[in-house]
Amino acid sequence: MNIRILIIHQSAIIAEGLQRLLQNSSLQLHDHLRMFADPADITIHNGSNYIFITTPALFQNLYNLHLINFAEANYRFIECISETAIERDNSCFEAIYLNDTQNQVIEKVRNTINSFNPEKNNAISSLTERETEVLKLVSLGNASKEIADKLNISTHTVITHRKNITEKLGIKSISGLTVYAILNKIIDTDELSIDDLI
Amino acid sequence: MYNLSQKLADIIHHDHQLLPILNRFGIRLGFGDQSVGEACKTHSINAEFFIEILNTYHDPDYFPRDRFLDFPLPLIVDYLKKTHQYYYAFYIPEIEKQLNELIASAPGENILSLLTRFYLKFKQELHEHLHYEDQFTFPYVLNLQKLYELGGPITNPELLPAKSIIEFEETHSDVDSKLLDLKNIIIKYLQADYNDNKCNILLTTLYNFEDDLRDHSRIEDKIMVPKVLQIEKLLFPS
Repeated sequence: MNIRILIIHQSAIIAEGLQRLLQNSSLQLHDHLRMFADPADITIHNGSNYIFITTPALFQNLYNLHLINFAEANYRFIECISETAIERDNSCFEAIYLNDTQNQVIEKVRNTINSFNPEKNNAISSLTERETEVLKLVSLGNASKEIADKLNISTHTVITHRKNITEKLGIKSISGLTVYAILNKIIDTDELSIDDLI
Repeated sequence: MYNLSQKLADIIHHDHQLLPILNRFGIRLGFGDQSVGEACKTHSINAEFFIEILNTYHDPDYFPRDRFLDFPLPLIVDYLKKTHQYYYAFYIPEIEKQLNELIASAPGENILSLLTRFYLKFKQELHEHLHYEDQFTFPYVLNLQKLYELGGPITNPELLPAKSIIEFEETHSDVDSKLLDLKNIIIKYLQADYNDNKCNILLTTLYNFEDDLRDHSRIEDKIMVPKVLQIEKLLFPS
C-alpha cells in the first residue's frame, strides 16, 4: 500500500530526529518518508495516502494551501507536540510527545498506517465471477452501457465493477485490461485477432 | 535540498538520476569542480530556476509552487519543450529497443508480442499528446505572453483566443496510467521464459520515464496552466 509520510516541523531537531527514528524502525518506510520545514514546499499527489506528522498550526497551513488536493487525498494527521500536558487537537489521529520512547513513536505511526483500510491490505485480489464477466466484455471493446444491457444490470453497477477490477489488478486502461484478459485466457484469442483488440 | 554553492559533481554523485536535467539545460559532463552557480554562469542559465528544477526532480514531494510561479513563462515553456525533445530522442525509442530485445530473448513466447502492441498504442497516444502541445499549446502560451507584454486588456475581437488553456490541457492522465499499466502487467502478470536481466533493464527505464513524466506534468499543471489562466484573466476580463 502506497502511504507517504511527511514530517513537517520548524524545529530541525524534531524533524530530523523523527525521521531518523522512523527510518531505523521495522516499518520499512524507505523513500516514502520526507521532512519539510515549510508547508508551501509540498505537493499533494492525487490518489495517494498521506500521514502528516506536524503541529496543528502547520497542519492548518498545509490544509489551506492544498484545499483542492485534500478533497481527493486520503490522509491522517499525527500531532507532534512537546509536552503531554498540552491538549490534543481534535482533528489528529494520534499524538506524538517529546518524551515518547522510540517504540511508542513507532507504534503510533504503525497504528496510523494500519488505519488505512486494514482489511483491504490483506485481501487476496482475485476477481469475482461477475467481475471476470465484466472484464471480458470490457476487453472485447464494450462500453459500460453495452455491458449493462448484456448482463442485465445497471450502468452504475458496471462502473462499480470496473472500479474494483482496476483496484484489484492495478490496471486502468482498456488496452491494459485486454492484455491481462488475454494473458489469463479470459478471452480466447484463437477466434479473435489481437490486432483488433489492442 | 541542493543549493547554488554546491559542486555540480557532488550533486550528481548523490543523485545520478539528475543527469538528463543537466543535458536539458545544455550542461555537458567535464565540468570539473564548478559549483552549480558557476556552471549556470558559464552556460548563461537562470541559476534559480535550474536549482529548483534539480530539487523538485530529486524529491517528488518537494514543489515550491510560489517560487516557480515567479519564473517567466518563456523560461518554463522552453524547459518543457526540451523535455519533450528528450522523450522523442531518448525514452520513446529506447523503451522500444529494450522491449524488442526482451522479446528476442524468448523466441518461443508469442505472448510477449502483446507487450509490443500495448507499447505501440501507448507510444501513439504519447506522440499525439506531445505533438499537440508542441504545435498548439506552447505557441498559444508564448503568444499570450507577448500580448501581455504589450499591455492589456485586449479589446480587438480578432485577437481573442478560440479557447482557454484549460481546454488545451486535458489529456495527461491517460498517458500516465498506460505506463503504470505496462509496469504492472510485466511485474505482476507476465509469466514467460524471457531473459531476466533484459526485463530488469526495461523496467528500470520505465520507472525512470514515469518519474520524469510525473515531474513534467506537475510543472505543466501546477505552474504553466495557473500562470496562463492568470494572464487570460487580465487580458480578457469578460
